[in-house]
Amino acid sequence: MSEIREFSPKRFAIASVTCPSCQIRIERDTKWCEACGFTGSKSMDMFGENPPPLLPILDVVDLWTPKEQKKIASAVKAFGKRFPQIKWRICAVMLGAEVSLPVFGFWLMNVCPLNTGETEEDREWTVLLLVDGKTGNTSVTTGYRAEVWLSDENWVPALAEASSAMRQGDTLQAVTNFLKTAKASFEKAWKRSQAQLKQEAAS
Amino acid sequence: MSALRYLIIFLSLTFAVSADQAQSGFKYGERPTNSVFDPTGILTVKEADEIATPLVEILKNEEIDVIVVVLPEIGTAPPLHVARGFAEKWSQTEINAVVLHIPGQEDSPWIFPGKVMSSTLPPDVMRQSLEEAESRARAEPSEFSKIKAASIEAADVMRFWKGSEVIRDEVKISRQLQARLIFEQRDRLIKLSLGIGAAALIPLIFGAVFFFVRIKSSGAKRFPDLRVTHRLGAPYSGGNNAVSGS
Repeated sequence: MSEIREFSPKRFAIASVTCPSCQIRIERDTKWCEACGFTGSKSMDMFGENPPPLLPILDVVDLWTPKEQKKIASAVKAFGKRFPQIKWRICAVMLGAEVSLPVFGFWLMNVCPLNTGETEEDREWTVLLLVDGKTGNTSVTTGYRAEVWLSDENWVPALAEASSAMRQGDTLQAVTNFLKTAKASFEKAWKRSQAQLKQEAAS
Repeated sequence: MSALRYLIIFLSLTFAVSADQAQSGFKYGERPTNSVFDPTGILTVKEADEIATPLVEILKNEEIDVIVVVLPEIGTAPPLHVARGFAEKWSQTEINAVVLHIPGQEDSPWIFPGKVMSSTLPPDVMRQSLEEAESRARAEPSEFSKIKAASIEAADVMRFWKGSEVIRDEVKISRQLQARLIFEQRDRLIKLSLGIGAAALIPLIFGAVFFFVRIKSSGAKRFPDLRVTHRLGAPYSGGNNAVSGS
């Protein structure tokens, strides 16, 4: 059986990682944030230990109609045909400005149990889109394997698309536009990764 | 695909140049099998057979085609023109002649040789021998005997001239020319068909290449596999700060 080569994330990462709580730059293998002391257990103190299952479309606030959810599922499926490794989770919540979306997303990604059929690797490839119906804010939280390819700045155009649609009250368009823009960003990221691999092979 | 359809239609129309083209439109219809055309009915069946039998043999054995045509009248048309019309539509060999007879007409029957003869032999030589043959036939007492005599005289004259070197060479050249014409025509047709075929193929090839490129570029893309390093005690995600506000 041929071995699949695993690369170090540093080889492909285009940006450093930051603390979801205080946004300070941290090391990829740090156990806690040296600036604010944030760890995973702190998020559990904030949000509890019993999160809902992290379903592909988690709409606890009825932001989307069933028909709209079908359209979102369809858009996710189309994305998956192109980038099958990326697992999408689209979550609508009502949090408010006082709650940090990045920390909430961090909590959901790590504390939600794996769904039936979902592996650890699947969760590491997961990208969670959080839509706050209360504020109209949107955020992206990425698993360890997905975070390497796009930096926080790379996500801004896609999130801007989503926010723009949310401002207009079109919550469905917010997601579909986001996915369309995200796909374009991943296309660039993929080409970049292939170029890097070729360079490495040449040297 | 529409270009291919047009090509097929074009080729079928082109190759469907009617085999009957030579006979289509001729008011007297198709050549009778026994070389004797008598719509007047002046000849009995037995008489027609008697005239036709040697003509069929000569055609088969010597490639000399003598067609006997008996018409009630030809109006004001010159007999030569009428005979030529029959020769063009019905003759089966290069050495041919038409015996044209109008019953009751004093200067009938006439013997008209085909194009090869009339364009090769000196006109006065040809006319003299034909006039002699015609006058012998006209001297016969009955319509049947006139026609029979004329057909025999015509066959004899054709046989005599066919033996001559001039006619032999002319026939040879004529056949070569004909063959070359046929080949050239076929060549032109093939070139035209190839041209149209190529023109039809070009968009097909482009379409196939475009389709292939689309298919290739539209497949699933995979990122390289990574070694995972955990941080902040988190099993699946270290978190980030990609946020956008409304």
